[in-house]
Amino acid sequence: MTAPGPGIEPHERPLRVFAFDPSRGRTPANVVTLRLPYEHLDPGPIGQYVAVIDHNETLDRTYEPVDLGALDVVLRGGRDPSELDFQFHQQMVYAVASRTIQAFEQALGRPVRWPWAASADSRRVEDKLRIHPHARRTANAWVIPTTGEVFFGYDTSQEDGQLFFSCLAYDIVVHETVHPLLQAVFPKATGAPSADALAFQEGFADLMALLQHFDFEQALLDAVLRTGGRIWELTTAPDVESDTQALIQAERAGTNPLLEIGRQFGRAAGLGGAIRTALGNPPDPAAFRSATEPHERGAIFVAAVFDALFTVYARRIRDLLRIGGVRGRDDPLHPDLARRLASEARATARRFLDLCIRALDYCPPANTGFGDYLRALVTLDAEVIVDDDWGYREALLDGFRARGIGAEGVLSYSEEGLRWPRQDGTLPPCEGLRLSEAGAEANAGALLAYAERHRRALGLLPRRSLELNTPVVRTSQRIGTQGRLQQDVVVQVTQASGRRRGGATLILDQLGAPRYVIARPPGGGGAAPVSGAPPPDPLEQVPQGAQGGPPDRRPLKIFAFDPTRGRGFGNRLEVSVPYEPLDPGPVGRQLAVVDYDASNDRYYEAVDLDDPGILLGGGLDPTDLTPQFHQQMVYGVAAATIERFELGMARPVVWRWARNGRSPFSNRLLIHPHAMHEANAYYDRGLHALLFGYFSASEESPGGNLPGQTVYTCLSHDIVVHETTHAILDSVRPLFLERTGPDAPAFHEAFADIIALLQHFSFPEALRETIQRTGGQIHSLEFDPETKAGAGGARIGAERPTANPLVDLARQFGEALGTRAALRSALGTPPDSQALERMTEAHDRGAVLVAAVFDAFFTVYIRRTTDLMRLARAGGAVTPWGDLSPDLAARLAREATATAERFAAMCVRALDYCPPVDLELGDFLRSLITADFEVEPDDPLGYRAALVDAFSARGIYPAAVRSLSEEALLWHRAEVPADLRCEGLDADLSRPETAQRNAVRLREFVRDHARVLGLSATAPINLRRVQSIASHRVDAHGSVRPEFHVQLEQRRVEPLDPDAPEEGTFVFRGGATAVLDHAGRVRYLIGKGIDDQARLRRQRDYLRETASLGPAAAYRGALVTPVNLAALHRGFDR
Amino acid sequence: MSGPGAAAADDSIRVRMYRVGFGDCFLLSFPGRQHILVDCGVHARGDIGTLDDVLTDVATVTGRRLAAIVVSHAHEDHIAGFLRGEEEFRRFQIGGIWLPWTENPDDALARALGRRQAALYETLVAHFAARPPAGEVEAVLANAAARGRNTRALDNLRGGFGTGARVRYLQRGDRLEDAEGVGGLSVRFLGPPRDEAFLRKMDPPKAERYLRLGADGRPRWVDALEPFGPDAGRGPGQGGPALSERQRRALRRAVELSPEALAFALDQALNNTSVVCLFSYRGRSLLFPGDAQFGNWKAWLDDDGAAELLRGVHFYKVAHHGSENATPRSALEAMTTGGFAAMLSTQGHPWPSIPYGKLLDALERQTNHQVIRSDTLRLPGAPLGPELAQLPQGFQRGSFWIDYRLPL
Repeated sequence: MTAPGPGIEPHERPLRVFAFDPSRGRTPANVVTLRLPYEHLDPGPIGQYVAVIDHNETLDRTYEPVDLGALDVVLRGGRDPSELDFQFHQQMVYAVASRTIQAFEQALGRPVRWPWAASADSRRVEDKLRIHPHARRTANAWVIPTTGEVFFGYDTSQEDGQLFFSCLAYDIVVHETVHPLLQAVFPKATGAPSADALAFQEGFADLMALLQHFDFEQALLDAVLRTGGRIWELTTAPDVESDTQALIQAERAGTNPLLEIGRQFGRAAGLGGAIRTALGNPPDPAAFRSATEPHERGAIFVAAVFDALFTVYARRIRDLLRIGGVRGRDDPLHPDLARRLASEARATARRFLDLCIRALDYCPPANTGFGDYLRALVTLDAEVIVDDDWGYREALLDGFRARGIGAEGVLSYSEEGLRWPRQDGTLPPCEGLRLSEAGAEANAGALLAYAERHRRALGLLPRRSLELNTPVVRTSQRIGTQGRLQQDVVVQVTQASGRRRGGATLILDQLGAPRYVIARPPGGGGAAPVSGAPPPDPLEQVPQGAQGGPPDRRPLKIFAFDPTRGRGFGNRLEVSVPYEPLDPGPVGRQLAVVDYDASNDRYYEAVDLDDPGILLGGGLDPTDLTPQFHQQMVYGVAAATIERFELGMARPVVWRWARNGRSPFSNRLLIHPHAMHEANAYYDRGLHALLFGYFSASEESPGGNLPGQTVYTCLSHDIVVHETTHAILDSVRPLFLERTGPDAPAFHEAFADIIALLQHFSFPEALRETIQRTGGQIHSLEFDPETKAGAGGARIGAERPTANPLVDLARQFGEALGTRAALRSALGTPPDSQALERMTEAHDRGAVLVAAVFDAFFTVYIRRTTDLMRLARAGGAVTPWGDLSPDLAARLAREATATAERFAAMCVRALDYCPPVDLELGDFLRSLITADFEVEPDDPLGYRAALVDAFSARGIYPAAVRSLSEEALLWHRAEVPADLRCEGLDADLSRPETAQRNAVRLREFVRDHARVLGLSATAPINLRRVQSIASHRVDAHGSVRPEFHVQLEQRRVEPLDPDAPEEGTFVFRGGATAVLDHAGRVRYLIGKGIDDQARLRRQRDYLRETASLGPAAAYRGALVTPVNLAALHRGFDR
Repeated sequence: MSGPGAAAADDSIRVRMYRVGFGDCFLLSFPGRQHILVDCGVHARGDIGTLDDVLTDVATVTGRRLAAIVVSHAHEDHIAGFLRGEEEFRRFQIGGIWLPWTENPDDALARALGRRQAALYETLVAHFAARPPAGEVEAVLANAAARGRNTRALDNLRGGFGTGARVRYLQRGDRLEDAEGVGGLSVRFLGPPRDEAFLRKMDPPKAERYLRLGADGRPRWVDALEPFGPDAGRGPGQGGPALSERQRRALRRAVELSPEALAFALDQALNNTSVVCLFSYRGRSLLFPGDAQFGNWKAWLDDDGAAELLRGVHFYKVAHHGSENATPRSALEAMTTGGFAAMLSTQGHPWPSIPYGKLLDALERQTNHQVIRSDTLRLPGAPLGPELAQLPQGFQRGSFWIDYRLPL
């Protein structure tokens, strides 16, 4: 037994397996490495879920179990794939079963629990899934799902008399593993299953097996190349064309492995080929009714799903084929195109795999048949993806309909008709549910009582006893409003009637409110949900679905850039913000737009966005003439910015002044869109407000403005995002506005600019236009003119080059004023690793940071699109004069948007890994790297490498790192005793009271262990912002693992000049950001020691130097004040 | 009325600091009766009435022959003498007149800058007529007096007083060897810079709203922009949220862009146009930074050679009368401790916080007490600085000047 080395907990175990079965050889397409979540394994292998027991009944013999932890095995990366090495067989069944279990856990958002197991973490072999890779000599594989035993046989092949092993067929192993997994999802579905239910189980198991094929990169690519991208075809083209009789193998067509199950097995059994395929016969509406055998019915179901899958895939690749210039079906595929097609296929299959598993939770608790399952699929899909751009749901419906798989009891075979009815709120919530694992028992009691109380409404029969499976907390993949990861509680209530079981599946939201009740009375064959007395009017039965209740989103029109861009260029944009009821202002939960003009001492009439007339138009139309549109725009842009942070941070934004104000709107951020007559806009923490000024444009050089026209800073998207970001940043990191060094104000400025600029890349129209006019080089500062200027220079607008709006910040404001051209000037100058040393001014230093981030951003974008451009040139989608086809432009736009979203999320998350005080630009690089590494340990596209390069090219180096490698840049793990834990933290993040309890616990913990945590004993400790953060990564078992972040702050009053204490003092701060995992273990301590004398010296020097910068200081003496954003933005009051 | 030692000896450079009140006037005398006048002015509020005597003394000492006049920047306390003594200077023989590039009438950038600064000045003056500021602010503004006496003084200088003097407009990086015929005198100009960052600071924003005195003699706001016209919006109760009275007042306070701050900013902008001269003569270096404040210093302090340059300084004219933000601590510390002497022309009126006590302490330390301030000279009716126990070595007092001899 080899334990991993001290301190190194590997997170994965790579193991090789056959992708299909040994008959396809040991080619790269057939040997794949599965990267399984690491777990400790006893010889067998025996892990947490799976025990491989290699006993041969026929020979009554036990083969020696493989020890995958043994050094030699580990060194070789597991056993080599081999048909004859029984220890490889053990490895393979373990790996494939584990992979299948993991797919279920990830999709279901919770750990799997075997129903036969005594407890979740039982160590007994009997409590695991026991797999017998060589059970008997028989051409079969079978399973006893209720007790958790899977058997694989071996035999000699009828085809060639050679031995074959069913445990070496990837898809057969998956298939057999799925049966017990279904048992785990429907633990109470005991009793006699209906024929439909049996067939469903078979079909579902095949579906899982087939869908996993699409994860194998090489095989997928191979299939794409051999089918010309038409991967739904059963035969694949030969390596070379043959006009006559195929004489060599390369001339022979093959079968498409992606679509086959048990090819070797089938041939061995004398079937001549695979036992089943994904797509059998052409669709026939009568097929399903006439099929009776469960496997046969299952196969039709599988075909229906794959029909949908390939239909979506075909839709997704149409543009790629056009870009690649593929016209006929025999056109050879460009390698880049093949790779793109393969990746679309993989993405589509992953989505289907995920959807198909998750739909199980939306099925009745027993006797799930095909009709139920279709309804579950449609319901779930509509939940996850509101706008069905690719037509997943339509494709599913058509696939099922074409094969005659119907759902009983529905009025219309349409998306609306098939969706389970959403609960409309008449059922009260179930009180007292807890979302942490610890709460399972209490939840069960509460839910049983709840079901008893509401029998009728839940469609349960009276007088028969109710049984409950263990309620599960399911993590939905969706981050809901306010950045909260959505979690549901799913429970199945069952009851027996005779030999039949029935009941209801309840899906409740995290506050216990039922969202779906999917009922199936025992014995009742109908799939119609029962809810109270049957209504007389059939139309009333039409599920209201999402039509009732408030909408999720509110669309609002804004200027994408600012009014100078006019109507062109996608400048009129609709942002969609989370819906909330709004009072006139608008005044919502977090924002209050109060249109008070302090310079003129008057209020402008407030817009009521909930006014039906305005709602109907999707908000007011953009205009700079009426204050009401301005109010709408600041609200919309600020709300969208807040949402971006909430999604990134996975928690709500709470203003720093929340809870302690007594004035009106005290928990809100005030926005004054016309606060003053001044060419300025700023966040004022004392006023809890964003102040936007208006002013007359310059008479001399107004740029795109009319000379002297009124310019409203609140109509500049960038400025609103910028100021909102200041307010959010100041709330998340309240000490970052301290004057601790030149980087403090620089960071605030740069961060706000970065967020504003990244937002540009979510404007679809402007992005596409930019891409087209820059030939995809979206970092160009200027567009080429639309047409070539004639002799004598440009005469018309189209002949003049224009500035690229995406890389332009606050253009109107800048033109009207002539400042704030951070990115433009920063990207416009080549990186200089010495530059930072010379810069002390906040905007200058900030511009370097902005440039570094955007350097990395554009680098990754280029990296992501190189293949597309190459392909497009080969396919003629780029004309010689640089114009791009709309298909290509749309693709590039998607890549740019995705890259920008990732960068924005990286930047936002990095905040949680910043020291609480005295942030230097180099620290931010380390935080970026660490935060991203925590979420995405793999970095195939090199986001982190690009950042490191871009930062170092500009001389942004972190202090005290030994190299610029990723390992060196990651913040060091906390060096604390291994058993140090903060006990009693509650992982249930859904309730405010748990957050408070956690804060108390953390406070005590920090107090008791201050020294160990690296805090000074001589300065008081202050806990700021104790935050529970749902980590973005769902762990290997599908659960959300929250983290706890605490900003520890220490302070000491120090003289500005130790030699002259009478000269004044300042507050010197130190501290650390402590990151604790869900179990309360300290993972990171990211700190700035208060006893750091060098830091103290640096800060003193800085303060003394900058204190004398203010113009008035010469005549009034020095004043040390926090960074004044108003003045910083004014630019002169330094 | 030249005092003893008026003639420069050939074995030293003499720096004569005149006691003008609040202002600067320094006369450098090199061997061979070569003289350079650095600034000649006094602030109207800090005038102690000696300027005429100073002009006479300059004429006497130099025999009306000046190799160069250095005009550090266009504040009254540095140039008033060029208006008041305009007749006198016409009779001088002047080699060169050195002005900052920002005063060059042929420089479009300088003109634009000057125009904007002048506009701001005018506006501020009008504003403060309606609402008089605190004394210190008024004094700051008075010093700028951009359209009045200062302009005339500048015109005199630009015209070379009709003497045929060569007028030079200088910027950072310029250099003169055997400057204006003074053999062996090399001058490096460390400021004012001309880069964008610097210009940005030179250009204070135009504030949007000011008070004016109306015809009725009552102050009213002018230039007020009503963004949606005079009729849009009125008091609270427009069907929208309203602020509490406290919030409303706080907001109003916050948005008043303080004209006082602008006055200080304008003052600083002009100070930072100061010509910063480093004179080198036979191995001796003298640093005359005018009134350069932090922004001007910063532009060259970060340079590679700056530390070495400061190490070699033997005489330092303390910038901006010894105010808080005019001599960066790092610069002072870079000069060789005990290896240089310093003079500051200052007095505690009209700004009590000038000179800055801590800077004086640091100067005492760094020069090893080779420092003297002009207001240690007792003159009738003039504010007197701290009593000087003993005249430091190398300094000599005259009736309204102090000399320092830098031996060669």
